[in-house]
Amino acid sequence: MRSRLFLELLLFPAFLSVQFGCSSGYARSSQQPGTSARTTMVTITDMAGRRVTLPSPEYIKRVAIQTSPQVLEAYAIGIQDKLCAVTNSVKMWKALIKVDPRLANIPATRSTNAQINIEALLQANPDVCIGGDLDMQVIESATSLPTLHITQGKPGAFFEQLKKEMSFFGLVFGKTARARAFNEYLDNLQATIRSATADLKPEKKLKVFMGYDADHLTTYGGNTFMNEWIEAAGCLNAAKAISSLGGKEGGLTNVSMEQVLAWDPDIIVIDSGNPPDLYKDAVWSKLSAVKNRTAYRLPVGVFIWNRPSCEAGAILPEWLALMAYPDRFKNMDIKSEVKRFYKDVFHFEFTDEDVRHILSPDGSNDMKR
Amino acid sequence: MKKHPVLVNSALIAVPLAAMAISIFFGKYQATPRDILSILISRLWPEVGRSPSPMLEVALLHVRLPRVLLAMLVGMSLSISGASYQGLFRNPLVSSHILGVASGASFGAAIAILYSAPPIVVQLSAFCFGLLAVGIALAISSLYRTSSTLTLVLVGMITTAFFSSLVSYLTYTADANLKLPAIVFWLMGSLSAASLKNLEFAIVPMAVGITALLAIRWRINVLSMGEDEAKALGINTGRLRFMIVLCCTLITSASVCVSGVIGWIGLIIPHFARMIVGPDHKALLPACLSIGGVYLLLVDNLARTLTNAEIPLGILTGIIGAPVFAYLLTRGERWS
Repeated sequence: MRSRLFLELLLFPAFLSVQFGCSSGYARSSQQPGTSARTTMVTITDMAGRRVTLPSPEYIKRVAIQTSPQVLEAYAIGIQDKLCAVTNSVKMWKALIKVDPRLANIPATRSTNAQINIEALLQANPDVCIGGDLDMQVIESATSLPTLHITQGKPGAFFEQLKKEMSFFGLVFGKTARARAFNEYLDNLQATIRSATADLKPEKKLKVFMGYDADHLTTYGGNTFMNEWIEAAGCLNAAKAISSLGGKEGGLTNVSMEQVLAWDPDIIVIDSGNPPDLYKDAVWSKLSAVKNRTAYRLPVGVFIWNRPSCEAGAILPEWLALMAYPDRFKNMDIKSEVKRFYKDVFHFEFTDEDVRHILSPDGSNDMKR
Repeated sequence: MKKHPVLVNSALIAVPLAAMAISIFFGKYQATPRDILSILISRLWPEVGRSPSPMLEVALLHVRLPRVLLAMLVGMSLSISGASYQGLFRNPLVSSHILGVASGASFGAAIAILYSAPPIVVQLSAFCFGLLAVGIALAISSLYRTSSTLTLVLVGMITTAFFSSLVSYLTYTADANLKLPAIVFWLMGSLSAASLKNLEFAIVPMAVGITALLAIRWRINVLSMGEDEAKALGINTGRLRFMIVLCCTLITSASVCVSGVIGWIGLIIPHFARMIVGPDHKALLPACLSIGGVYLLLVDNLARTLTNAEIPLGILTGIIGAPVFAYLLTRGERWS
């Protein structure tokens, strides 16, 4: 007993000094905006139309991005080194960790809508926080950190919204050239697909069903970003008639097997299981897409390709177009297109093996690392 | 009502059969009644009829028919187990989920969904955790010296609360983009993935449990008079109680694992049935089978045909059921 007390007494000063060392370390770097004479402040209008005062681009050293698709936008304009807090789900993808190994150690302070660990966020010590309206309101109610709202665009205007977001990021971080490069890449890609599929009559366009979850019966309806992506690929959304609840971002809806049989889509894309399982299934095997072997597993890149991100928004329509109309894109090879995309947009070169994993995920790229 | 038992009994048999027959003709896959009939005939007498389209045949025989049968079976299972529990616990407010079977099954399904398991594993996991939750409730209640049914109800609430918290934890940690919708849809209940495989999976435990409950249904009368009276009549109440719990757990786990959580039926159908045939379990249990089956079948028909998307069953059973039964209960006094 006596010796234990002695040990504790001995350790106590050491413990104190560690604590003190820590806090003083943070005190130095946590200069509140405006307190340091050297930090230049700027005032900009965020996407919700709020006037926000924040450090000028060269003084933003640490940024907390609290929505997953927008974390990817940080990579697309090349400011990933400033990330100090991210979301849970963005850390689940192997390929993104490969692009940026540092991400594995960045704290995930947001788990789901409006669920933000404020103390962890303060500990991460961001100069500015970026995210959706709800999440930013949570941060505003508890802290005085500057926040920038990424307000959802109207349904049916995904690409406009994406380009606007990219320009906004470019402005905030002083990376307007990178942002412009992305927007031009997107425009050129879409122009290429459009010109190759422009003469398709509506009745000749292939009907695509996106079937998610284990039973492949969850999909995106006509008023979702996915509908726009499918149409950007020169195809039609089998589930167009469905108006997904929420419409804006969530938009996933359950449909019945009978409804899928009634649609009898030309192309099926699933995000779990594998197409050969469908060949064996008594019901699915009767669908044209399964009979014609045009059922595919959804690729997974640095993030899943069925979420409204700058990655999937650009590359999924291209992938779909190439799968649907190979004759119209004879000079384009999806493998090199995927490679080119990550090289031009994320400035990262994937190997052939990586690309194979992205295009035919065998589960190794799925879920947790 | 009790003046015409023959009339009531024949209605209880005829209405489910008619409801099933009519339900076959409604669905999202467009087909004329004529085509549907010719498929059914060609199946029964291959030499006579000819199937008009192989696709319609699949839609009808592999999707719609199993779904109609499953809706019937799930409705039957939930209401008969609700009625049995209400008799066993002598409490009109308990339902088929009282011992934690639904929250146990939800946990089993959620964890399987989280690990991207194929549908059959999700089902199996839901089934096993449903059984496990009730097993835990029984094990804990056996630790207490008193063997009152009240203890069992309380322990059931404890396991329910425990597993619900686990489910909340899983939904909280589940990735909002990938797994959360699947878990939420499951928790709201749906037969959208109904197939012959599902039917084969569920029908055996359901048939065994329902048959056993029907066979011992007169003893539930004795139990519902109270434990002392039952013992005085020479009935081993402990064993009987275990038997009832076992059967109910078997059939409710089997239904929850194919349909997700569907509330309300196991609570309210027994009351409705009691208004028609009276409190005698000999008549009550078969009546529950009929009414519960028809009720869920009709609600599921709406769920699959009202819109192009599916409407979760858990939502409809409550939204349609609550006002209807509230109205019926006000009239109930006259009947009893």
